[in-house]
Amino acid sequence: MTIEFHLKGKILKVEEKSISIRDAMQALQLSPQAYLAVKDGVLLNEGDVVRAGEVVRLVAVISGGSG
Amino acid sequence: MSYIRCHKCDQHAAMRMKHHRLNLCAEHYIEYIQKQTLRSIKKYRMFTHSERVLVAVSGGKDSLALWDVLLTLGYQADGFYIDLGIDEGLGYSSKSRMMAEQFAQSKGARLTVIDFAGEYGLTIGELAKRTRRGTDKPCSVCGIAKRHTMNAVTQRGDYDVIATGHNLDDEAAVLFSNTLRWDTDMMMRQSPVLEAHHGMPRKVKPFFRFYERETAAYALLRGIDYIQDECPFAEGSRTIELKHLLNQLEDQSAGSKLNFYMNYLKAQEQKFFNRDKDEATRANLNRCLQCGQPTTAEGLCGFCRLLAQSQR
Repeated sequence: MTIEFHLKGKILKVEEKSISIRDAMQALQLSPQAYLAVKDGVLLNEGDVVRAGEVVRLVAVISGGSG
Repeated sequence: MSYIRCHKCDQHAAMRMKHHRLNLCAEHYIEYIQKQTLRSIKKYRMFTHSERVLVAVSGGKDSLALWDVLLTLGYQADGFYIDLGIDEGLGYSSKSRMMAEQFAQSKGARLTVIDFAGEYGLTIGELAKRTRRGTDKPCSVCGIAKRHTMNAVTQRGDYDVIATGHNLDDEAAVLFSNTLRWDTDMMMRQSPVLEAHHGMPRKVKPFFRFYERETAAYALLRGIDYIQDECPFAEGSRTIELKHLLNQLEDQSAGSKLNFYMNYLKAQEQKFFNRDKDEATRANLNRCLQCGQPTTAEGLCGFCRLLAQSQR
C-alpha cells in the first residue's frame, strides 16, 4: 500500500491505498506552490488521486540566486 | 482521474490556478500562457513585431519557455546565453548551455553564446573569489557580470530590447526583500519595463504575471527540455528563502503573491514613490572609462572595477 514520489533522486513514500495530490503534498510537508506532480508523462492537478503501486515524479519549480 | 475539469472543454485539468479561479487542460493552458504573454507585451508596450528582441537564456524553465512563447507569437526573438563556467562537480554550466543550444537548434533560432572565461579570462566563481565578494555565493557578482555582458551584446547585435524570463515569484521575492529593508531606491526601479537610457536597450519581463509553477508547467507541457538542477551557488540563497515564505502565504490565501506585486505596481502608478531622486541619478550618470557603459560612479563601472580588483 505504498505510493512513491520521486523528487531530485530521492524516493518519498506515502502509505495509503489512494490519496489526492493535495493530501499527499501535505503528508510529505511540501508546498503545492513549489512542486508539480507528473505521472506517466501527464501533469496532475491537486485533486487528482493516485493509488498504491503508482509512481509520481515531483518537479521542483523554485529557482533563483542573487542573494 | 479527478473532479477538477478544464473550464473551457471539460477535459482533465492539467493546471488549477486558484488565484484566477481557473482550471485548464494542457491544450487550453498552453493557449492561455501564450495569450496572456501577448496581453502583457501589448499592455505594457514592451516591444512590437518590427523590433529585434534578445532573450536572455539560462537553459532554465523560465527563459526557454519565454523564448518558445515569443517565437510562437511570431516575434523576432534571438537568444543569448552566457557560459559562466559554473561547475562545482556537477557540470552545471555545460549542462545548461547544452539545453539552450538544443532548444535553439530544435526551433531553428539564433543563439549567441558568450564564454565568460574566454571573454574575461576567469570564471564567475574565480571572479568572486579573487575580489572576495561572495566567496561562498557569487550571486551578486554574477548579477553584475550578467547585466554588463547582456548590455554589451545587445549593443553589438543592434537589438532594441532585452527580454528576461523573470516570473511573478522572482518579482515578489525582490519586492519582499526591498520592503523588509524599506529600500525605496531599489523599489522604485522595479518594473516590468525599464526604458532605454544612455544607449542601453529597453529591458522587459513579459512573464511577470505568471507564478513560477505556471512557467514550469508550460515548459513541461510544451516538452521543453530545461535544466531542472538548481544553480549550485543558489542553494540556500536569500531569494529562495523569501520565495518559500511567500509560498506559505499563498498556501494560506490564494492570490497573495499576485496581489502583493500587482498592487505595488498600482501604487507606483499612483505616484506613491517620489521618482525625482531616481530620475536625477539617471540624468547624472557617467560613462565607464573602460567599457563606456553608464555608471553612477566616476571612473570605472561596477563590473570593470571587479575585473580590475581580480587582476591585482
